[in-house]
Amino acid sequence: MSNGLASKDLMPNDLSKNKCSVCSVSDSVNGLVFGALLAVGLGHAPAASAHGTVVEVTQTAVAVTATFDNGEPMTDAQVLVYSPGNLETPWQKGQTDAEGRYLFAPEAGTPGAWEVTVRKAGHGGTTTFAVGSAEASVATSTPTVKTSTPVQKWLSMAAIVWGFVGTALFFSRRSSTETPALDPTVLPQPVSNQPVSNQPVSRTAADPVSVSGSSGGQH
Amino acid sequence: MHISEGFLPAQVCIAGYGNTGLLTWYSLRQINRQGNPNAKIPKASLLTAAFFVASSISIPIPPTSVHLLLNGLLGVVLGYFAVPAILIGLLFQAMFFGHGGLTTLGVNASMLGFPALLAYHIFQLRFVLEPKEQAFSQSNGSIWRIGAFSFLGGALGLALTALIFFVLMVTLVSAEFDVQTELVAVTYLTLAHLPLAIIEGGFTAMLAVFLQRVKPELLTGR
Repeated sequence: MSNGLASKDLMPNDLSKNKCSVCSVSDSVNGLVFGALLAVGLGHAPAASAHGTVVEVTQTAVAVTATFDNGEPMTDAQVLVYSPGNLETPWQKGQTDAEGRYLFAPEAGTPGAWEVTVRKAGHGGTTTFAVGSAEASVATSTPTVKTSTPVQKWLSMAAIVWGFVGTALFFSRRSSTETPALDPTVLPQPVSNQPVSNQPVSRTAADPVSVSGSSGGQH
Repeated sequence: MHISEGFLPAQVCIAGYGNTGLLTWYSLRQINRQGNPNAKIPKASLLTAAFFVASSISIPIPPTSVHLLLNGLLGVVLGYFAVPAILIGLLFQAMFFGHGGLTTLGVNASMLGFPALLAYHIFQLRFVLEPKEQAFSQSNGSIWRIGAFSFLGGALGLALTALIFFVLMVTLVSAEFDVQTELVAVTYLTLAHLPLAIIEGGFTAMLAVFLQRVKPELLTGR
């Protein structure tokens, strides 16, 4: 297949603004295809003005932009494009450029859900986009992973970390309250010492209460 | 270093879940045998948070960039708790950030969890190789031995993960992709993890030595 387009030549300057910062694949639309039809005039006009020219511009290209979630472009990543009619054999293969972009022109006569897979070193992803009927010239796309703003990302990260910290606090609190009750050597000391110190010495030896108190910690 | 969704055959994903199930069962069984698992949950929970955040911290190592893994560190400090900690951390990473994926969660958990257990056992080797007169003491070992074995555990845990990743990615490339191009990319990424292994090994050693000096009971015992 040779339908891959050189993004360096055809990519509008503002096209990168359409990029979705997904971990694997992002997408954008509105690449340009310049289909130049040269009609040769065969009429009776003088030779100097014999050539009429028709320049036709059709917006039928799809631009794939692949970035890592930290914004770094996936350069030289492999790209597979699958047409709606055959999702087993790639309709086109290629590689992203230095900015993580890849342009191709889906067949206008093949409407449906096209699929793009990007891969580099085990990382990447798959996204699909719909090409409308024959007269539709602009494709729409749906990333497989929803994008999130940095604020959303940091907020969700903070919430999850707080969940872990809360779990740690919960279990550390439970263990600190349970520890004295589980340790039989801690409680008997004040129980056994208190009555002994407050009672007369002469009564301690004969009093059965003080004897039972000293062994109370073993119950 | 997470394997994304869609790049592994279904059989491998299922086998990954099966392997992770066995690994988790074995780890929970060992945790239960150690007595009072609740006492170690705070430490495990905090390190799970660190593991979860670590994947968002990328370190540029040209021509690519890598992110922290910390699976070796978790193995050294948490012991068998490292496996459920890694599993939970990976689940949150996949759900919220798209790192890895739910279908590859089993493979990723095995890829990071098994080396974590290896790191734990490497760290425990400090007791095996200690002098005979200290063999029956209750100490964690000398500072130098703790530092050396925790470094080895942290570094080799990550290195083994990188090796497993390399083997999986090279042997399971779909026929539609160009194998040679993918091989070069995976090789670069794997080699970029070697400096990271040294960095994480050093970080693990610093943490283990710090814990030994400040609160030695937090380190895994015999």
